[in-house]
Order: sequence, then structure tokens, then C-alpha cells
Amino acid sequence: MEKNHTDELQTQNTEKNVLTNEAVVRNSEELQTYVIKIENSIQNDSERFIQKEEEQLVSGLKSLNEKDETVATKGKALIGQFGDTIKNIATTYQQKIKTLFNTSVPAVESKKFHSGISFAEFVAGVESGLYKTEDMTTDPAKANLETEDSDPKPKNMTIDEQIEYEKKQIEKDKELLRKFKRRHGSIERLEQEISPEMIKEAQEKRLQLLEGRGLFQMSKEDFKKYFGSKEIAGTTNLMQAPTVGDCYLVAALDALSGSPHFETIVRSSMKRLSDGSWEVQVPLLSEEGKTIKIEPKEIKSQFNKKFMKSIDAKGLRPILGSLSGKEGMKVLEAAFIKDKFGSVDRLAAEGGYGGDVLIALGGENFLKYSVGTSRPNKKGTKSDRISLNSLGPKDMADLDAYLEGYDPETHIATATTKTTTDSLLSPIMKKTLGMYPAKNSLKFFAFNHAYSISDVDKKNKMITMANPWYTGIPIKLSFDEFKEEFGQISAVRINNAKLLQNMERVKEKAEQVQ
Amino acid sequence: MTPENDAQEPVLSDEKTAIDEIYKEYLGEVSVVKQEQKETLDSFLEEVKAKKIVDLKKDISQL
Repeated sequence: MEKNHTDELQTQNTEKNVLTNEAVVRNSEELQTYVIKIENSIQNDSERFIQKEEEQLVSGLKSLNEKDETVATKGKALIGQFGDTIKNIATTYQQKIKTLFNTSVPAVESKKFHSGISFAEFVAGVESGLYKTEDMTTDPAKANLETEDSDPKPKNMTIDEQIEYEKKQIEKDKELLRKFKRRHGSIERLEQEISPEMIKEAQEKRLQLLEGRGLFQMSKEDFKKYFGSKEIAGTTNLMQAPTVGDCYLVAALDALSGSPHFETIVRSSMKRLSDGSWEVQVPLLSEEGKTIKIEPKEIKSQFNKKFMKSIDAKGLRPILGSLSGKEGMKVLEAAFIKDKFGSVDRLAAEGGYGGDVLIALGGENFLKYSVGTSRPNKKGTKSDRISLNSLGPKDMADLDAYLEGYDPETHIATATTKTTTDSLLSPIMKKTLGMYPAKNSLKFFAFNHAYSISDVDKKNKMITMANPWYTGIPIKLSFDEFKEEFGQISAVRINNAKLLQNMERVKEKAEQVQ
Repeated sequence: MTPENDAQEPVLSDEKTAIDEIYKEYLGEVSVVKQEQKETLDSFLEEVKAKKIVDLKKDISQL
């Protein structure tokens, strides 16, 4: 009896210990989750502050219509110190939490795509032919998976044999399900909206993957130096030369530089030589691409050869400038002009469409997309570009589908404003201001001017754009405002599979030359 | 309350309170900096505005 009582006590103690240990583990996990939550709040708070700080400055200057860059720089320097202070405070308090709990918070687990496959796996899958677009289906019954025929069930099995047989069948089913999930996952990856963090992660993984294969001819450091970085505010801003009418080109370059593929494309196709000149593969990444050489003098302002020799506007400007921005962007501007016109003739390059620039620079890696309006002008001599709202039902549905489906992973876009408005004052505004007021807001837009599209918020139906006169100030428009004030979209869609394929080819070609 | 909860719950709660205290302290310190930043930005924008008005008056006087 005594023995039984002791056994019972021992059992109770063991159960209690198990329960207590479970509670300790559960509580420790809960605590760690809480520590991570607070640490992340501090981190996010400091990052949001720095972002907000700059937004406040930009919106303040905008409300005063102050466009002087030196003023903006001065303001940024003045308030920038607060961002650093907040960062230091955040670090101090994060450290305090770490010290108090004597624990190093594990890094937040790397995010994967919704499907659970990483970008590297996805790329590897595409390359190995696992994810064939035409083969994708969400129905397992139609998934056309290669499966071995089930073994015919032997008759007269013993019970043990039957269990063994069922186990094997379960394993086969699991394998089938795994294959299906991988394919289905890739569909989800294509169909679902990609969050900015996800894009960043994918971009980094892709770069690591390609870096490992030796496909780049420009280092990451050089890329940051010559093209700027989105992480360092202001370094990627562009400003169209006031003396040259190549807004379409600057808008296209600004849109291109905002693509998550930009770094990959540039680092694979552009090289800065030791004498300061550049070699640019045009189209970028294309197998048939020409190598355009750009000398340092070609990215500087040039004397207008038609100055005083032409009676129109072309003869009035002594100097033709290049865009203001990082050296690499000036080189891209010059490379496009040189490829198209044989020399960096800035006068010849005036007037055009952003989509054409992107096609010229991206070649077969890009597919053109364009939708626009046109009606004869009052004299019947030319066409006017009017509001996108005047599109017919089919084109409007096409435009809506484009905006609803806009994804920075696959789209690069520019848009052009109207050449006229319905206002009676339109001809006067065009001649004096060159700008027209928006129909339903206090914004002003330049006539017949290209803008870059940097983002589309499908949920709130908002478009973020930039004026090539200075791309540092985002212009936010609702879909309705955009359709009212703009008359054309000139854009491209990225052919991702081609992009990867061409990268391999460029490498092979480079190896053959060596 | 089961024994295991009895033993563990207060510890967790104490630790959470300690983290909350640090977080509150952090927010307090940060709010001072945010206020300073706001004042600096406001005064900077006031300066820009004042300068613009002066420039505008100059332009008008030259007309």
C-alpha cells in the first residue's frame, strides 16, 4: 500500500514537472515574442520618424512653392540631426532591453513568399522548367503532375504486408501533394500582391544569386556611387536640364531607376573604365546589344550648334544641358541619345515618348504598353492629346485593368499630360505659364509634358508620380484625377524570364570574347 | 489556478512590466526630440516664407 502511495506521488510529481516545464517554455516564448514586439516597435518608430521628418520638410516647402534645392538641403541639414538623435535613443533602449533580459533577440525569420518558397527557389524552379506558365493550374486533378502508376494491390496479403503497402501509398500521396503545392505556390507568388518588403527581399536574393554566378561587371559599391541609393534620401533625384526638351527621356530614366530590376540591369550592362569613360550595352542585357562608349565630355553641357542659326526656339539657346543627377544616370541619358542619333545630339533628342526610350534601352526584355487619346485640333492641322477620361469603353477597361494590375516587379511607366484643356484660357495659359490647373484640385500640370510613375496604390486607388523638372517631390493623384489630367500612358512590361535568360547569354558572350 | 501557472505567471507579468517601463521611458525621451524637431522645422519654414515675401515685394517694387 505504502509502495503504491509512493508510486502515485512520484507519478504526480513527474506530471507536475512536465507541466511546469511546458509552462516555462511557453512563458519564455511568450516573453521573447513580447521583447521582439517592443524592440520592433522602437525600431519602426525611429525609422518612421526619419521618413516623416523629410516628408514634413518637403510638404512644407511645397506649400510655400519653394523649389530652390539649396533651401531644401539647408532644411534637411537642420532637421536631419533629430533623426540621428532618435536613432541613438532607439539603440540605447534596445540595448537596455537586451541587457535586462540577458538575451539576444533572434533575428526575425526571413520572410518567404506567400507560397512558402523563397525567391531563390522560385528562380531555380523557373530555370529548371518546374514552373511552366502554361502548365500552371490550381486544380490538383488537372495539374498534370508526373506520377508513377500505383502498384497493383497484391492479393492475399498478410496484415503486416497490408500495413506496409498502405504506408507506401501514403508516402506516394504525400510526394504528389508536395509537387502540387510547389506548383500552386508559384501561382500564388505570381497572383498575389507583393509587399514592398517582399520586393526588397526578392531583389536582394536575386542579386546574391547572380553575384554568385559572376554575372556583374559593376560592383555594388560602384552602383551606389554612380547611381545613388533609394535608402539615402535625395541621391536618386533627377532634374531635367531647363534648356532641353527631353522630359520623356528623363521621366523614362526616373521610372526605370525605380524598378526593383534596375540594379540588376545596370550592373550587368554598364561599366565605368579607369579613364572615366563608360561602356554601355544597348539594349541593356540584349544578346545583340551594341556597346556604346560614352566619354566624360559627352555627359556635360554642350554648345548649341544651331544657336543664332535657326529662327525658331532651337536657335535661341546657346547651351544645351544634361540632366542633373548621379553620373550613371547622365551616362544612360547620353547612351540613349547616342544610340538613336549617332552622337550625343541633345537638340535632336527633343520630343518623344517614355515607352520608346524604355524599349530602346530594354530591348526584348521589355514589352511595350501604350494607351492614349487623340482628336484633331480646331484648325484640323494637328492632333490634340486630351483627357484619358475621353477613352472609349474598350480602351478605358484596358486602362483600368492596367492600373489595377500595376506591379513594380513587372511594370515601368511614364504618362504624358494633355496638349490642351477645354478651358477658354487654355491657349493663353499655354503661351504664358506653360501650365494648366487641375480640374478638381489645386495642382498644376505642364502642358504636353511626360511624368514618371513611381507607384500605384491599388487599394486606395492612388498613383504616385514625379515631374522630371525635379523628381524629388512625389505627386499623388487619385485614379480619377490621373485620368482627368493625363492623356497617355507610355510604358513597358518586363519579361522576367527573358531577363534571366539574357543575363546568362551576356555572360557566355563575354567569356567567348575573352 | 493550477500550480504551474501559480509559479510562472507573476514572473512573466513582472518582466512584461519591466519592458513596458523601458518602452514608456523611451517614448518620453523621444517625444522631447520630436517636439524640438517640430519647432525647428516650423521656424525654418517661417524663415523661408519671410524671405519669399521680401523677394516678392522687391519684384513688385521693380514693376
